[in-house]
Amino acid sequence: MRTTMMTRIALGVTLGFSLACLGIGGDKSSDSTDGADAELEPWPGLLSMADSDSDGDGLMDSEEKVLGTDPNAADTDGDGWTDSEEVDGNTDPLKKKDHPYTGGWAIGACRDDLDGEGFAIGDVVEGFELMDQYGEMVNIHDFCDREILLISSAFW
Amino acid sequence: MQALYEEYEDLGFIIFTLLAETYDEQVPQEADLMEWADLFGITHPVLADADFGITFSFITTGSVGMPSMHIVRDGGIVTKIDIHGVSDGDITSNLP
Repeated sequence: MRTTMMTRIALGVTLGFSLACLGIGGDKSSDSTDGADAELEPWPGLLSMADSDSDGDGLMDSEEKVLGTDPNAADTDGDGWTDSEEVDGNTDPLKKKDHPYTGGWAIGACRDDLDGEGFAIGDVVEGFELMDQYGEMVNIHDFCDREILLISSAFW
Repeated sequence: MQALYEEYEDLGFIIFTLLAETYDEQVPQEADLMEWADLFGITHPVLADADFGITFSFITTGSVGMPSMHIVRDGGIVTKIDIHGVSDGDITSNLP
């Protein structure tokens, strides 16, 4: 998804450069000696013709073409997140299972049934609670109805 | 790993990434955890494991290489400890 962010930036730069070459946009107050500021917008319809956001999802149609999303559907994969929310959240707007997470993990109904024994193979894992990336405390027993892969790592 | 999570999450699979230290060996704060999640496009829990407390609870013999992985199946049963790579078979054989 980093690629898509870069694509958005590249599109913005390209469009900005093109408009600059046409003399559209920029600071109207600068270098204007003849008082004919209005003439800086010779083709007022050009911007809307050049690009638009047909579905109002925050992504221009040209961006959606590059991403492969539907320019006429704000939520292309139908997962409840708009295409631009997914791009901003570094998730794939084309995959329904991939969407931004904002906290609030589901809690398994069996969590209070577990009596922790230890951390060896065959043990019922000892309960522990750690802070997640949303500042919420996550208890491993909240996931008693799932298979959990724990990956231990560090920044270095 | 994110791809594995997306493939099997609907079948009851989840990943916890436990981060013990930042680059300057401090306990990760919320912003550090979010930075890590953003960097790798992670949508599962990223947790602060201060001083490797939970990591070393699983590993009691010798030193530990990073990343180290452990599997806990449904019912909270520990089934694998300190493996350094996970196959589809490891995941599918422990699904609820």
